[in-house]
Amino acid sequence: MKRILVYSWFYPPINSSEGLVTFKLLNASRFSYDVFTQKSVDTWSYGASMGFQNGSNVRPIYAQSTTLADWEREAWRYFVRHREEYDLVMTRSMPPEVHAVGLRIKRAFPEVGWIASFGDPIKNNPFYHIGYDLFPPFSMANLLNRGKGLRFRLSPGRIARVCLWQLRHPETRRLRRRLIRIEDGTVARADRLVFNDRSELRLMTHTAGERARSVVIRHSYDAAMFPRAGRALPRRKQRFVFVGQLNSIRKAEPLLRGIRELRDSMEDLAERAEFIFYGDMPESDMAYIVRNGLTDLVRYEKPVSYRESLRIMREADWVVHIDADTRAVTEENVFFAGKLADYFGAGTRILAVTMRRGDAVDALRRAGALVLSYSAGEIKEYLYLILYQGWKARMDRDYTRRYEAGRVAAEFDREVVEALENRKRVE
Amino acid sequence: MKTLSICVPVYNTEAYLRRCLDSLLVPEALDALEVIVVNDGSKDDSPEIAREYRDRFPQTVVFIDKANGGHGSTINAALKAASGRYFRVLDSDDWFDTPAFLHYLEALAHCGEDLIVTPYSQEYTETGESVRYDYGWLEHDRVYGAAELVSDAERLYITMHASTFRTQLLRDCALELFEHCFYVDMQYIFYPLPYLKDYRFLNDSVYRYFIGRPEQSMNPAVFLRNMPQHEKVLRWMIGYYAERRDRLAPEVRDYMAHILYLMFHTHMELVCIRLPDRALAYRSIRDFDAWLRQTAPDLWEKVDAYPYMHYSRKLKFLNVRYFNRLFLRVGALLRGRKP
Repeated sequence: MKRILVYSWFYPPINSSEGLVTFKLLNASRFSYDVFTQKSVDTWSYGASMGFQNGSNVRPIYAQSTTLADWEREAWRYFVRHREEYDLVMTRSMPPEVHAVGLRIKRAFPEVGWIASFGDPIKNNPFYHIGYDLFPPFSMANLLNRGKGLRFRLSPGRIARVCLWQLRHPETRRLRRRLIRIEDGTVARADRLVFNDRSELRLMTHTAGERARSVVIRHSYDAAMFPRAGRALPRRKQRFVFVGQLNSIRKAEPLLRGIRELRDSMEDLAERAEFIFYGDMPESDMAYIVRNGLTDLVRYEKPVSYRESLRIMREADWVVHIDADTRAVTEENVFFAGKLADYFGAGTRILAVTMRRGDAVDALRRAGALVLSYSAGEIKEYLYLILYQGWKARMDRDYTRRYEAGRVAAEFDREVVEALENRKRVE
Repeated sequence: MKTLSICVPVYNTEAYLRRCLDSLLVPEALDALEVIVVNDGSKDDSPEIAREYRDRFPQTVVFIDKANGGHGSTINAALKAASGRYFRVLDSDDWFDTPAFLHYLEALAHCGEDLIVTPYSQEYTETGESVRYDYGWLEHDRVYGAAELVSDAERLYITMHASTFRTQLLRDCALELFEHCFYVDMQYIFYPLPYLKDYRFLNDSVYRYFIGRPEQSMNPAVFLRNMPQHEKVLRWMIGYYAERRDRLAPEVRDYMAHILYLMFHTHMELVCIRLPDRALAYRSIRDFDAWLRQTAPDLWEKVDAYPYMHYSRKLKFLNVRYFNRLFLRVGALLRGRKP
């Protein structure tokens, strides 16, 4: 069969979760891919890092563009020029605009098969509703207003405010409309929809037809990428490590509050534990660390390369996972962080601070991770049990091995075959 | 003999039960502790989790698997099985603060009073905040007589989360809580009061009361559904008080009357504000008030001494709904938040 064309804005050497999950999946697949990407823009990533060796089945094609809009145009031109080389196209978000390329191709060449693989949700992404002001605060489309009564819905004051907001924010309105068009168009027209967890699938698909074309393909880890060296020698302190991105919504504050509460009752805590955050951290968390005198317990380190992060995960006593608290807009956690698969691959115990419900939360529980709510009291309690009573989480290796790239890619390959067959039916 | 028996009622709490049991079953506590996990006909994996802990800690964990009978039935069953000198209840979605618990358990070994009072905290999952109820007017490790029980507008009564009773005291007063009924925690703290001789306060904030599960009984929507049960418990408590009031020390009588006033006040407000059928709400609360006057006239008089209750009665409780709404709206206006 012909090679498959994959559109992904992020791909190694750019060090971003979106690109890394694509890299691991494609390299473990039995099909051959051309990955149309770029390596000149590293915004929303941890820069470029070396050491990613593509397999013989994957060939990256780097665009010259330095903006997303130019990249979209270049991606379209590339497909038109090389139309005969591909039967199947796959688009991989984030950013969501990548799917606009797939949508344009599908409109022009309906016979081409299209797999749309979603990173995060788009129009109903909780981040757009809680913190990023993509939706007017009084709009019924804003998930913060779900469940409001008729009086609120029919209020002329509310409607006037929404109209006023739209007038004052024309660019945001255009962006929002574009994102909605991209998601709706993609969900309606793609031959296969790939989500990374069931909660996201539930949020983004609404009809039986959409769900019939949908599949959940988990993020994966590549065991070969982990360092071969044995585990580090036992340390005097237990090391808790967070690797990845925190921001004003997905923040470490609940964990920091738990640490502070335990430190207030156990003076020798700093002799027993250290908490290290690699990556991005919001200023509010940094200020919390300083204001509460946690600097002898909590360290913030600059971002590291992907391979280095795998070594750090493996050598830690506990890896920490933190999800954004989106209970104001969604009943369940709709994110499956890419690093969770690597945490599973590292085999290190996981301490997760997350919502009570969600597919990723269920996966963490099944894996044997310690799953805690945002209650500082609960976090404090378990930190005490771990550090002073020798409590340990028991990770279930039989379960976590399901996230090994080879296994996940085998599931993905079945979807590729399905998409190709669907294309033949259209022809 | 074990020092403490802890009853852990379990009903569909698989997501929380491990946290609850992990906080108790630490090596230093095992010898002095008996944990009676009572499964109340759960439909989820809670019984499997409980069995797993029983197998890991056979000397400490007792597992009782019974058909569904409500919170009260689990406490009744655990009390029959308890072998510890003291008895307390820990709901399976709550947990103990382990360092404080170990300190408390050590102190408990040397106690002989009928009731041990400890502070507790409410943990709000929505905000991550913790609110501590610390009984600040009591002195650490001091023994008080029953006549020193106090509760008024500023001072909280001793709740289930703060109470550890001497097991024999609960048996002596023939504690038997309602089955298939919510709000039996009020019944639980009320039952032993006429028999109480003394109590001790230990300043170890042990109990962590988890607030935020949608199905909790004090959630307004759930309360509306269970209002008849609230009334049933309240009527029982008033009857229990009325039967014994002449034999009670004046301070204990005042204390019990104050608890009843608070419960009546809550009942009245929730009935008047939450019940959608207003005519039924007013009829219900007026009937209840008439029954109270007939059953316990002294309590009716005590309640009437509070100006708000006095004028509510004068206005046939019509003010409760509108006054509260007005109050909430003015408060919200001042705070700049939605009521």
